[in-house]
Amino acid sequence: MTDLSLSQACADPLLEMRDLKLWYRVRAGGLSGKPEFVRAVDGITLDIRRGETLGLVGESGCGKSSLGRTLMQLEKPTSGQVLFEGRDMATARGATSLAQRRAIQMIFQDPRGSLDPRMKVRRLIGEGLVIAGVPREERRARVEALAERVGLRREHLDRYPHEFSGGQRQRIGIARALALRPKLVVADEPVSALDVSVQSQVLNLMSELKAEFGLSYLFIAHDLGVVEYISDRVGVMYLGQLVELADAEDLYADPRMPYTEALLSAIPDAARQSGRPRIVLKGDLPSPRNPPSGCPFRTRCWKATAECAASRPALREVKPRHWAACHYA
Amino acid sequence: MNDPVPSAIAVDPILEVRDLCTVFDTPAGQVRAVDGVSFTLGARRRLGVVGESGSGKSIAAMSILRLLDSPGRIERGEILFRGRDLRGLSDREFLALRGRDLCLVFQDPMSALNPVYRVGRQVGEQILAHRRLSKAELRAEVVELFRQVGIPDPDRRFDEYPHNLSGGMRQRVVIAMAMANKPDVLILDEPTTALDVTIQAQILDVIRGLTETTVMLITHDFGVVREICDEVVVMYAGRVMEQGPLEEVTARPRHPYTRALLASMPGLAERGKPLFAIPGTVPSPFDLPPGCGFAPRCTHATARCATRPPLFAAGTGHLSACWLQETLTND
Repeated sequence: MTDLSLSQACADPLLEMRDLKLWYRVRAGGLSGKPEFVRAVDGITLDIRRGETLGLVGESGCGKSSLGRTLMQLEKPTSGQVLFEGRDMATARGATSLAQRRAIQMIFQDPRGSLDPRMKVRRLIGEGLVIAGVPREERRARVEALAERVGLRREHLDRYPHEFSGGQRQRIGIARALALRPKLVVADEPVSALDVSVQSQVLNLMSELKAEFGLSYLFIAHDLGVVEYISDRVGVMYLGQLVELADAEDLYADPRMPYTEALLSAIPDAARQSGRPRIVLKGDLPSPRNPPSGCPFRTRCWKATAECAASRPALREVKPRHWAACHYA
Repeated sequence: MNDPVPSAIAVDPILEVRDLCTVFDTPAGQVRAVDGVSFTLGARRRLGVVGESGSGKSIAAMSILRLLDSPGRIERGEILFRGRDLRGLSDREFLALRGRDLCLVFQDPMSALNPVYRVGRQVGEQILAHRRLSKAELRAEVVELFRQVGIPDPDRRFDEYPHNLSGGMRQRVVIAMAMANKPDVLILDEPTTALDVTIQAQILDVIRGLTETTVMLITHDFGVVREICDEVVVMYAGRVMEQGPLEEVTARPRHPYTRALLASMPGLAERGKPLFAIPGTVPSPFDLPPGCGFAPRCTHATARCATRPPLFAAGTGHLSACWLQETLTND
């Protein structure tokens, strides 16, 4: 999709993705044939607004984490652009590039894997400040203030990550992400490794910090209940493509893309309050190495017709502030 | 607890666990992973065992199936299968039972499958361990099992290796393997936790379709229990907090832990308002509170909670291990 009029234009977006693609080459081309690619992110145009929480949902392999990694500049996009505060991140150099990198930070799913086991908490939280050249005294004060803010005690600062529970480790990860005063935090499955009774504590902390620090979140998760609660807008990804985007309330109340419908109906509902008929999909997710022609979801869709195989539906505004990529939305 | 435990559901019991205690003697001290757990599985019913990590739910299942490794051991308790205490059986007698009458499905299907054998052969092995069949009969039976658990193109799948299958397909193969000898009781330990929600919905459909089988489903997800179970046991820190018919427990939870757990579900929360959060963290198994396991995190805790509460009757087949049982109001 190259039609930029599709961008969910707002006055002053914090970050803009323009037809972003991230293809991984899984087989080299040559005499034996064509090169093969996994289309992890396949043409995404999406804005993140200042102060919003944008939820991104989809099943494993849909490319949601790859998208987050591209924004973090951990992956170089195959094509397309990412603009941060209007400036192209790929061409930014020097101080601009450094400022952009500091302004986007990440919270990882597994706080055990993302915290160096040989560093004490004080150093884990302050590492970015050391690199940024913050003087020792100021660093100490900022680390202590942050630790206190995320609910760690003073004596915790001189302990190692393994001495903490999962919830506390995630608090350390959050403090570490906030140390450089970012504007955007990419949170990739931040609570899915936590027990239910601890999950709410971390979600509440993230909401409070968002208001206090003026943050925007890209909240990537597979748990649709959590995403509904925390997000202002929600995007749904399927096989590397954005297939639906709307305000959270509207998306959950009135999904237009059949995949979103199926996904929402599949949530095991502890309260059984939604009354949605359950749609059990046939078949598995196709391989992103060899995606179906036309609409990526047509192989599992109960509404699919010949048209769905022939042409890929564009993401279009099916009602105000609600975009869906389906010929029949 | 040594006092007799009121029995929750008495309809045609097939598996009864009474006062089960499983301990691990470690250099750092003794861990009571399962501490006086009792429940009854009625024939052809589906029981959900819900709990967070460290609640003892998986250890309880492994104790039942004699899968505990040293230093874990059953300290006391009875496990009655059709009225016969399984703890009294010799290993040989038990092996004849496990895999035929009682089966277990683990969370991760990849670790339950041997990567170097075709999946059809692996399912066939289960059948051959308990019955004699010709090669053609065996293949026909396995293909039929694959069909029952919703594997498309079952005849072709028979000859595939586990790595050729998706996560959902592998879990179907493992369920087919467990169902191979038409067990009376199928124990599933987090069978859908590693799967995506649309695939989870498919697997839950398969489990729902096993109407002739008694199911014990172990999970951290109350939503999954809500989908397919008739009864529920809520565990915390090795003990049963509450148990009873599913509708009763979810509509009128009596134990503060069950209430808190249900209230923490983000699906119930209003956006923009803080989520209900249980303060603190799950206690260390080396340092369990002396009385009620949940008391340190409970907003209703009183001095009385330093003594361990018994299970109080809270309705028909509904039990709650809380001293406040009488004073908690219905709503």
